[in-house]
Amino acid sequence: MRIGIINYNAGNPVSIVNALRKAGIACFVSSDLEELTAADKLILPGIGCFDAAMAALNTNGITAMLDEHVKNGSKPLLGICLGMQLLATGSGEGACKGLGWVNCTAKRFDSKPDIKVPHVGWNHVNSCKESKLLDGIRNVTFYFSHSYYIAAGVEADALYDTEYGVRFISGIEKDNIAGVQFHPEKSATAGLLLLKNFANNF
Amino acid sequence: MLQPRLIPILLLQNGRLVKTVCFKDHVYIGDPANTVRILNDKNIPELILLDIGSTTNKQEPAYTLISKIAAECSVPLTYGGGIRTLESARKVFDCGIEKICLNTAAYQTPQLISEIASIYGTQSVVVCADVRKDKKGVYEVYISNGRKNTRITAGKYATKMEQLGCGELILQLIDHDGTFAGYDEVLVNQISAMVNIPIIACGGATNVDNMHKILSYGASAAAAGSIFLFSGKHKAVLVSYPFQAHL
Repeated sequence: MRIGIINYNAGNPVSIVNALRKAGIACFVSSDLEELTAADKLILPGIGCFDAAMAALNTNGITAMLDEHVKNGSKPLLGICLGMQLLATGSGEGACKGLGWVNCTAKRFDSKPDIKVPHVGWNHVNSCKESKLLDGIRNVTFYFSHSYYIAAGVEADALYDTEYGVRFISGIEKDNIAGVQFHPEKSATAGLLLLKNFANNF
Repeated sequence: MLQPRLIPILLLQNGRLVKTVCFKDHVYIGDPANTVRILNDKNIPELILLDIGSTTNKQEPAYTLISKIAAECSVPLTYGGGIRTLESARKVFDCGIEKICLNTAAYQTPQLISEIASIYGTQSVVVCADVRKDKKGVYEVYISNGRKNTRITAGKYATKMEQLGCGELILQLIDHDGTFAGYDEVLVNQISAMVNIPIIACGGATNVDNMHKILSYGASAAAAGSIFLFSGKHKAVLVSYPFQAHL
Protein backbone atom coordinates (compact mmCIF):
# COMPACT_ATOMS: atom_id res chain seq x y z
CA MET A 1 0.00 0.00 0.00
CA ARG A 2 1.47 3.33 -1.08
CA ILE A 3 0.04 6.78 -0.52
CA GLY A 4 0.65 9.39 -3.18
CA ILE A 5 0.98 12.95 -1.90
CA ILE A 6 -0.16 15.40 -4.56
CA ASN A 7 2.52 18.01 -5.18
CA TYR A 8 1.05 21.13 -6.74
CA ASN A 9 3.31 23.80 -5.25
CA ALA A 10 0.68 24.97 -2.82
CA GLY A 11 1.05 22.41 -0.12
CA ASN A 12 3.61 21.28 2.37
CA PRO A 13 4.35 17.72 1.30
CA VAL A 14 7.55 17.45 3.35
CA SER A 15 5.76 17.54 6.72
CA ILE A 16 3.35 14.86 5.51
CA VAL A 17 6.22 12.67 4.29
CA ASN A 18 7.96 13.07 7.65
CA ALA A 19 4.78 12.08 9.51
CA LEU A 20 3.91 9.10 7.27
CA ARG A 21 7.48 7.87 7.62
CA LYS A 22 7.14 8.00 11.42
CA ALA A 23 3.83 6.11 11.12
CA GLY A 24 5.54 3.46 8.99
CA ILE A 25 3.40 4.15 5.91
CA ALA A 26 4.96 4.01 2.44
CA CYS A 27 4.46 7.18 0.43
CA PHE A 28 5.77 9.34 -2.39
CA VAL A 29 5.38 12.94 -3.50
CA SER A 30 4.52 13.59 -7.13
CA SER A 31 2.81 15.86 -9.59
CA ASP A 32 2.95 13.21 -12.32
CA LEU A 33 -0.54 12.06 -13.32
CA GLU A 34 0.49 8.48 -14.10
CA GLU A 35 2.35 8.06 -10.83
CA LEU A 36 -0.52 9.51 -8.83
CA THR A 37 -3.05 7.33 -10.65
CA ALA A 38 -0.97 4.29 -9.67
CA ALA A 39 -1.08 5.20 -5.95
CA ASP A 40 -3.43 3.19 -3.73
CA LYS A 41 -4.55 6.30 -1.87
CA LEU A 42 -4.01 10.02 -2.25
CA ILE A 43 -3.41 12.92 0.09
CA LEU A 44 -4.24 16.45 -1.05
CA PRO A 45 -2.19 18.74 1.18
CA GLY A 46 -2.73 22.43 1.53
CA ILE A 47 -1.22 25.50 2.87
CA GLY A 48 -2.00 28.48 0.72
CA CYS A 49 -4.75 30.35 -1.03
CA PHE A 50 -7.86 28.79 -2.52
CA ASP A 51 -7.59 30.29 -6.02
CA ALA A 52 -3.85 29.68 -6.41
CA ALA A 53 -4.36 26.06 -5.34
CA MET A 54 -7.33 25.39 -7.65
CA ALA A 55 -5.55 27.06 -10.57
CA ALA A 56 -2.52 24.82 -10.01
CA LEU A 57 -4.71 21.69 -9.84
CA ASN A 58 -6.62 22.68 -12.97
CA THR A 59 -3.64 23.59 -15.16
CA ASN A 60 -1.72 20.43 -14.28
CA GLY A 61 -4.64 18.16 -15.18
CA ILE A 62 -4.86 16.98 -11.59
CA THR A 63 -8.52 18.05 -11.24
CA ALA A 64 -9.55 15.85 -14.19
CA MET A 65 -7.53 12.91 -12.83
CA LEU A 66 -9.10 13.32 -9.38
CA ASP A 67 -12.61 13.53 -10.83
CA GLU A 68 -12.05 10.31 -12.73
CA HIS A 69 -10.33 8.23 -10.06
CA VAL A 70 -11.64 9.68 -6.79
CA LYS A 71 -15.03 11.28 -7.41
CA ASN A 72 -16.22 8.84 -10.08
CA GLY A 73 -13.88 6.05 -8.98
CA SER A 74 -13.05 4.47 -5.66
CA LYS A 75 -9.57 5.75 -4.87
CA PRO A 76 -9.50 7.09 -1.31
CA LEU A 77 -8.41 10.69 -0.87
CA LEU A 78 -7.65 12.70 2.27
CA GLY A 79 -7.66 16.48 1.97
CA ILE A 80 -5.76 18.36 4.65
CA CYS A 81 -6.52 21.96 5.72
CA LEU A 82 -6.91 23.88 2.44
CA GLY A 83 -7.03 20.42 0.85
CA MET A 84 -10.33 19.86 2.68
CA GLN A 85 -11.74 23.24 1.63
CA LEU A 86 -10.93 22.41 -2.01
CA LEU A 87 -13.51 19.59 -1.78
CA ALA A 88 -16.18 22.31 -1.48
CA THR A 89 -17.96 24.08 -4.33
CA GLY A 90 -16.13 27.35 -3.64
CA SER A 91 -14.70 29.70 -1.03
CA GLY A 92 -15.07 33.27 0.12
CA GLU A 93 -11.28 33.44 -0.26
CA GLY A 94 -11.45 33.43 -4.04
CA ALA A 95 -13.46 33.32 -7.24
CA CYS A 96 -12.41 29.85 -8.47
CA LYS A 97 -14.76 26.89 -8.31
CA GLY A 98 -13.68 24.14 -5.95
CA LEU A 99 -13.66 20.43 -6.74
CA GLY A 100 -17.35 20.48 -5.76
CA TRP A 101 -17.45 16.96 -4.31
CA VAL A 102 -19.03 18.15 -1.07
CA ASN A 103 -21.93 20.57 -1.22
CA CYS A 104 -20.64 23.47 0.89
CA THR A 105 -18.50 26.59 0.67
CA ALA A 106 -15.71 27.95 2.85
CA LYS A 107 -16.06 31.32 4.53
CA ARG A 108 -13.88 33.57 6.65
CA PHE A 109 -14.06 33.72 10.45
CA ASP A 110 -15.58 36.97 11.72
CA SER A 111 -12.87 38.51 13.87
CA LYS A 112 -13.93 39.81 17.27
CA PRO A 113 -11.82 41.05 20.17
CA ASP A 114 -11.45 37.53 21.58
CA ILE A 115 -11.58 35.76 18.21
CA LYS A 116 -8.38 36.52 16.36
CA VAL A 117 -8.03 35.35 12.76
CA PRO A 118 -6.38 33.04 11.72
CA HIS A 119 -7.49 30.38 14.19
CA VAL A 120 -4.15 28.97 15.32
CA GLY A 121 -3.42 26.32 17.90
CA TRP A 122 -4.57 23.00 19.33
CA ASN A 123 -8.34 22.65 19.55
CA HIS A 124 -10.83 19.93 20.42
CA VAL A 125 -12.41 17.86 17.69
CA ASN A 126 -15.82 16.39 18.46
CA SER A 127 -16.67 13.40 16.36
CA CYS A 128 -19.56 11.07 15.81
CA LYS A 129 -19.18 7.35 16.45
CA GLU A 130 -19.09 6.39 12.78
CA SER A 131 -15.81 8.13 12.02
CA LYS A 132 -13.28 5.88 10.30
CA LEU A 133 -10.44 8.38 10.65
CA LEU A 134 -10.94 8.99 14.37
CA ASP A 135 -11.26 5.29 15.18
CA GLY A 136 -9.61 4.84 18.58
CA ILE A 137 -8.89 8.58 18.90
CA ARG A 138 -11.38 10.28 21.20
CA ASN A 139 -11.42 13.52 23.16
CA VAL A 140 -8.16 14.78 21.76
CA THR A 141 -6.97 18.02 20.27
CA PHE A 142 -5.40 18.62 16.89
CA TYR A 143 -3.39 21.54 15.51
CA PHE A 144 -5.29 24.10 13.42
CA SER A 145 -4.05 27.05 11.37
CA HIS A 146 -6.64 28.64 9.08
CA SER A 147 -8.73 31.75 8.39
CA TYR A 148 -11.54 30.07 6.42
CA TYR A 149 -13.90 27.33 7.56
CA ILE A 150 -16.77 25.18 6.38
CA ALA A 151 -19.99 25.81 8.29
CA ALA A 152 -22.44 23.15 9.48
CA GLY A 153 -25.15 21.75 7.22
CA VAL A 154 -23.02 19.41 5.14
CA GLU A 155 -24.27 15.97 4.06
CA ALA A 156 -21.70 13.26 4.71
CA ASP A 157 -21.22 9.84 6.32
CA ALA A 158 -19.38 11.34 9.24
CA LEU A 159 -18.68 14.87 10.33
CA TYR A 160 -16.65 16.32 13.18
CA ASP A 161 -16.86 19.81 14.52
CA THR A 162 -14.79 22.30 16.48
CA GLU A 163 -15.60 25.51 18.33
CA TYR A 164 -13.86 28.81 17.61
CA GLY A 165 -16.35 31.64 18.02
CA VAL A 166 -18.61 29.51 15.84
CA ARG A 167 -19.03 25.77 15.59
CA PHE A 168 -17.48 24.73 12.28
CA ILE A 169 -16.88 21.49 10.40
CA SER A 170 -13.39 20.22 11.22
CA GLY A 171 -13.68 16.91 9.36
CA ILE A 172 -15.73 15.24 6.64
CA GLU A 173 -15.95 11.60 5.61
CA LYS A 174 -18.02 10.76 2.57
CA ASP A 175 -17.62 7.40 0.79
CA ASN A 176 -13.96 7.20 -0.29
CA ILE A 177 -13.34 10.90 0.35
CA ALA A 178 -12.19 12.48 3.60
CA GLY A 179 -11.07 15.93 4.63
CA VAL A 180 -9.73 17.42 7.84
CA GLN A 181 -9.37 21.10 8.60
CA PHE A 182 -6.58 20.52 11.12
CA HIS A 183 -3.06 19.23 10.42
CA PRO A 184 -2.67 15.56 11.38
CA GLU A 185 0.91 15.65 10.08
CA LYS A 186 1.71 18.25 12.75
CA SER A 187 -0.48 16.87 15.53
CA ALA A 188 2.04 14.55 17.18
CA THR A 189 0.74 11.14 18.31
CA ALA A 190 -2.95 11.75 17.62
CA GLY A 191 -2.10 12.90 14.11
CA LEU A 192 -0.05 9.78 13.40
CA LEU A 193 -2.97 7.61 14.56
CA LEU A 194 -5.31 9.44 12.19
CA LEU A 195 -2.93 8.93 9.27
CA LYS A 196 -2.70 5.22 10.14
CA ASN A 197 -6.51 5.08 10.18
CA PHE A 198 -6.59 6.61 6.72
CA ALA A 199 -4.12 3.97 5.54
CA ASN A 200 -6.07 1.11 7.16
CA ASN A 201 -9.75 2.07 7.18
CA PHE A 202 -10.31 3.70 3.80
CA MET B 1 -11.88 24.88 23.14
CA LEU B 2 -8.60 26.32 21.93
CA GLN B 3 -5.77 25.22 24.21
CA PRO B 4 -3.37 27.79 25.73
CA ARG B 5 -0.46 28.26 23.36
CA LEU B 6 2.76 28.17 25.38
CA ILE B 7 5.58 28.02 22.87
CA PRO B 8 9.29 27.34 23.36
CA ILE B 9 11.47 29.64 21.29
CA LEU B 10 14.98 28.59 20.30
CA LEU B 11 17.78 30.75 18.94
CA LEU B 12 20.27 29.53 16.37
CA GLN B 13 23.66 31.06 15.70
CA ASN B 14 26.19 29.49 13.32
CA GLY B 15 24.47 26.11 13.59
CA ARG B 16 24.46 26.12 17.40
CA LEU B 17 21.66 26.86 19.82
CA VAL B 18 22.26 29.86 22.05
CA LYS B 19 20.29 31.94 24.53
CA THR B 20 20.67 35.65 25.05
CA VAL B 21 19.97 38.25 27.72
CA CYS B 22 18.65 41.50 26.25
CA PHE B 23 19.88 40.28 22.84
CA LYS B 24 23.47 40.01 24.18
CA ASP B 25 25.58 37.66 26.33
CA HIS B 26 25.06 34.55 24.21
CA VAL B 27 25.18 31.31 26.18
CA TYR B 28 25.65 28.00 24.38
CA ILE B 29 22.68 25.67 24.86
CA GLY B 30 23.38 22.66 22.70
CA ASP B 31 22.91 20.87 19.43
CA PRO B 32 19.77 22.11 17.64
CA ALA B 33 18.38 18.82 16.28
CA ASN B 34 19.01 17.06 19.58
CA THR B 35 17.33 19.82 21.61
CA VAL B 36 14.32 19.83 19.27
CA ARG B 37 14.06 16.05 19.66
CA ILE B 38 14.02 16.42 23.46
CA LEU B 39 11.34 19.12 23.35
CA ASN B 40 9.29 17.16 20.82
CA ASP B 41 9.35 14.12 23.13
CA LYS B 42 8.09 16.35 25.94
CA ASN B 43 4.91 17.08 23.96
CA ILE B 44 5.45 20.72 23.12
CA PRO B 45 2.48 22.15 21.17
CA GLU B 46 4.55 24.20 18.70
CA LEU B 47 8.06 25.55 18.32
CA ILE B 48 9.65 28.77 17.10
CA LEU B 49 13.21 28.69 15.77
CA LEU B 50 15.01 31.95 15.00
CA ASP B 51 18.46 32.11 13.42
CA ILE B 52 19.86 35.31 14.91
CA GLY B 53 23.21 34.84 13.17
CA SER B 54 21.90 34.96 9.61
CA THR B 55 20.77 38.59 9.96
CA THR B 56 24.12 39.76 11.33
CA ASN B 57 26.14 37.78 8.80
CA LYS B 58 23.74 38.46 5.90
CA GLN B 59 23.56 34.70 5.30
CA GLU B 60 20.91 32.62 3.58
CA PRO B 61 18.96 30.28 5.87
CA ALA B 62 20.84 27.05 6.68
CA TYR B 63 18.47 24.87 4.64
CA THR B 64 20.12 21.52 5.38
CA LEU B 65 20.02 22.14 9.11
CA ILE B 66 16.42 23.41 8.94
CA SER B 67 15.34 20.21 7.13
CA LYS B 68 17.08 18.11 9.75
CA ILE B 69 15.36 20.01 12.58
CA ALA B 70 11.96 19.89 10.85
CA ALA B 71 12.22 16.11 10.58
CA GLU B 72 12.61 15.92 14.38
CA CYS B 73 9.54 18.01 15.05
CA SER B 74 6.07 16.44 14.86
CA VAL B 75 4.37 19.71 15.81
CA PRO B 76 4.21 23.02 13.91
CA LEU B 77 7.49 24.81 13.45
CA THR B 78 7.96 28.51 12.73
CA TYR B 79 11.35 29.45 11.28
CA GLY B 80 12.85 32.92 11.03
CA GLY B 81 16.25 34.26 10.01
CA GLY B 82 17.83 35.23 6.70
CA ILE B 83 14.62 35.12 4.64
CA ARG B 84 14.86 38.15 2.35
CA THR B 85 13.26 36.91 -0.89
CA LEU B 86 10.28 34.85 -2.01
CA GLU B 87 12.76 32.27 -3.28
CA SER B 88 14.38 31.78 0.13
CA ALA B 89 10.92 31.62 1.74
CA ARG B 90 9.96 28.90 -0.75
CA LYS B 91 13.10 26.92 0.08
CA VAL B 92 12.34 27.17 3.80
CA PHE B 93 8.76 25.92 3.28
CA ASP B 94 10.22 23.06 1.23
CA CYS B 95 12.32 22.07 4.25
CA GLY B 96 9.06 21.10 5.99
CA ILE B 97 8.40 24.38 7.80
CA GLU B 98 4.76 25.52 8.24
CA LYS B 99 5.33 29.16 9.05
CA ILE B 100 8.10 31.55 8.17
CA CYS B 101 8.98 34.52 10.34
CA LEU B 102 10.19 37.86 8.99
CA ASN B 103 11.83 40.51 11.12
CA THR B 104 14.27 42.95 9.47
CA ALA B 105 12.94 41.96 6.02
CA ALA B 106 9.38 42.87 7.08
CA TYR B 107 10.59 46.44 7.56
CA GLN B 108 12.98 46.64 4.60
CA THR B 109 10.84 44.81 2.00
CA PRO B 110 7.27 44.90 3.32
CA GLN B 111 5.85 43.70 -0.04
CA LEU B 112 7.55 40.35 0.68
CA ILE B 113 4.87 39.73 3.33
CA SER B 114 2.10 40.15 0.76
CA GLU B 115 3.93 38.06 -1.83
CA ILE B 116 4.39 35.13 0.52
CA ALA B 117 0.83 35.45 1.89
CA SER B 118 -0.67 35.43 -1.61
CA ILE B 119 0.91 32.04 -2.31
CA TYR B 120 1.11 30.34 1.08
CA GLY B 121 -1.76 32.09 2.87
CA THR B 122 -1.62 34.65 5.66
CA GLN B 123 -1.52 31.89 8.30
CA SER B 124 1.98 30.99 7.02
CA VAL B 125 3.50 34.43 7.53
CA VAL B 126 4.63 35.51 10.99
CA VAL B 127 6.30 38.85 11.69
CA CYS B 128 8.55 39.34 14.69
CA ALA B 129 8.66 42.90 15.98
CA ASP B 130 11.47 43.60 18.44
CA VAL B 131 10.29 46.41 20.67
CA ARG B 132 11.93 48.77 23.12
CA LYS B 133 10.21 51.26 25.42
CA ASP B 134 11.73 54.76 25.31
CA LYS B 135 12.00 57.17 28.25
CA LYS B 136 8.55 58.61 27.54
CA GLY B 137 6.99 55.16 27.60
CA VAL B 138 6.57 54.94 23.81
CA TYR B 139 7.12 51.48 22.32
CA GLU B 140 9.29 51.58 19.18
CA VAL B 141 10.22 48.78 16.78
CA TYR B 142 13.87 47.86 16.25
CA ILE B 143 15.43 45.81 13.45
CA SER B 144 18.81 44.15 12.78
CA ASN B 145 18.85 42.15 16.03
CA GLY B 146 17.69 45.15 18.04
CA ARG B 147 20.49 47.45 16.88
CA LYS B 148 18.56 49.86 14.68
CA ASN B 149 15.58 51.93 15.74
CA THR B 150 12.96 52.26 12.98
CA ARG B 151 11.28 55.11 14.93
CA ILE B 152 7.95 53.47 14.16
CA THR B 153 5.66 52.87 17.10
CA ALA B 154 4.68 49.27 17.85
CA GLY B 155 1.00 50.05 17.25
CA LYS B 156 1.53 51.61 13.85
CA TYR B 157 3.89 48.81 12.87
CA ALA B 158 1.47 46.06 13.96
CA THR B 159 -1.41 47.62 12.03
CA LYS B 160 0.71 47.90 8.89
CA MET B 161 1.91 44.30 9.17
CA GLU B 162 -1.68 43.08 9.48
CA GLN B 163 -2.71 45.05 6.39
CA LEU B 164 0.18 43.56 4.41
CA GLY B 165 -0.97 40.02 5.12
CA CYS B 166 0.93 38.99 8.24
CA GLY B 167 -0.99 36.18 10.01
CA GLU B 168 0.62 36.35 13.45
CA LEU B 169 2.77 38.89 15.21
CA ILE B 170 5.49 38.06 17.72
CA LEU B 171 5.93 41.05 20.05
CA GLN B 172 9.32 40.74 21.62
CA LEU B 173 10.41 43.15 24.32
CA ILE B 174 14.18 43.47 23.88
CA ASP B 175 14.96 44.71 27.39
CA HIS B 176 13.13 41.80 29.04
CA ASP B 177 14.78 39.09 26.89
CA GLY B 178 16.26 36.41 29.14
CA THR B 179 15.70 38.48 32.31
CA PHE B 180 12.75 36.55 33.84
CA ALA B 181 11.28 40.02 34.57
CA GLY B 182 7.83 39.15 33.25
CA TYR B 183 6.07 40.04 30.01
CA ASP B 184 5.10 43.64 29.32
CA GLU B 185 1.36 43.51 29.91
CA VAL B 186 0.76 47.09 28.80
CA LEU B 187 2.42 46.51 25.44
CA VAL B 188 0.55 43.28 24.77
CA ASN B 189 -2.79 44.72 25.85
CA GLN B 190 -2.32 47.84 23.77
CA ILE B 191 -1.31 46.11 20.52
CA SER B 192 -3.79 43.25 20.84
CA ALA B 193 -6.63 45.78 20.93
CA MET B 194 -5.39 47.34 17.68
CA VAL B 195 -5.17 44.26 15.44
CA ASN B 196 -7.30 41.21 14.67
CA ILE B 197 -4.41 38.78 14.16
CA PRO B 198 -3.00 36.63 16.98
CA ILE B 199 -0.28 38.22 19.11
CA ILE B 200 2.52 36.03 20.45
CA ALA B 201 4.02 37.65 23.55
CA CYS B 202 7.75 37.17 23.97
CA GLY B 203 10.50 38.40 26.24
CA GLY B 204 10.79 38.07 29.99
CA ALA B 205 8.67 35.04 30.91
CA THR B 206 9.15 34.42 34.64
CA ASN B 207 7.49 31.02 34.90
CA VAL B 208 4.49 28.98 33.80
CA ASP B 209 1.98 31.17 35.65
CA ASN B 210 3.39 34.27 34.02
CA MET B 211 2.88 32.66 30.58
CA HIS B 212 -0.75 31.87 31.38
CA LYS B 213 -1.29 35.34 32.78
CA ILE B 214 -0.22 37.21 29.65
CA LEU B 215 -2.93 35.36 27.71
CA SER B 216 -5.51 37.26 29.79
CA TYR B 217 -4.01 40.54 28.50
CA GLY B 218 -4.93 39.75 24.92
CA ALA B 219 -2.00 37.60 23.80
CA SER B 220 -3.07 34.55 21.79
CA ALA B 221 0.16 32.79 22.65
CA ALA B 222 3.09 33.13 25.03
CA ALA B 223 6.58 32.27 23.87
CA ALA B 224 9.60 31.77 26.10
CA GLY B 225 13.20 30.62 25.90
CA SER B 226 15.03 30.72 29.23
CA ILE B 227 12.39 29.02 31.38
CA PHE B 228 12.53 25.97 29.09
CA LEU B 229 16.30 25.96 28.85
CA PHE B 230 17.69 26.74 32.31
CA SER B 231 17.21 25.30 35.75
CA GLY B 232 18.09 26.50 39.25
CA LYS B 233 19.63 29.71 40.50
CA HIS B 234 22.89 29.07 38.68
CA LYS B 235 21.01 28.74 35.38
CA ALA B 236 22.33 25.31 34.47
CA VAL B 237 21.25 24.22 30.99
CA LEU B 238 18.34 21.79 31.31
CA VAL B 239 15.85 21.44 28.49
CA SER B 240 12.34 20.96 29.85
CA TYR B 241 8.68 21.53 29.05
CA PRO B 242 6.49 21.37 32.14
CA PHE B 243 3.08 21.23 30.44
CA GLN B 244 1.07 18.55 28.72
CA ALA B 245 -0.47 21.01 26.32
CA HIS B 246 -2.06 18.84 23.67
CA LEU B 247 -2.98 15.73 25.59
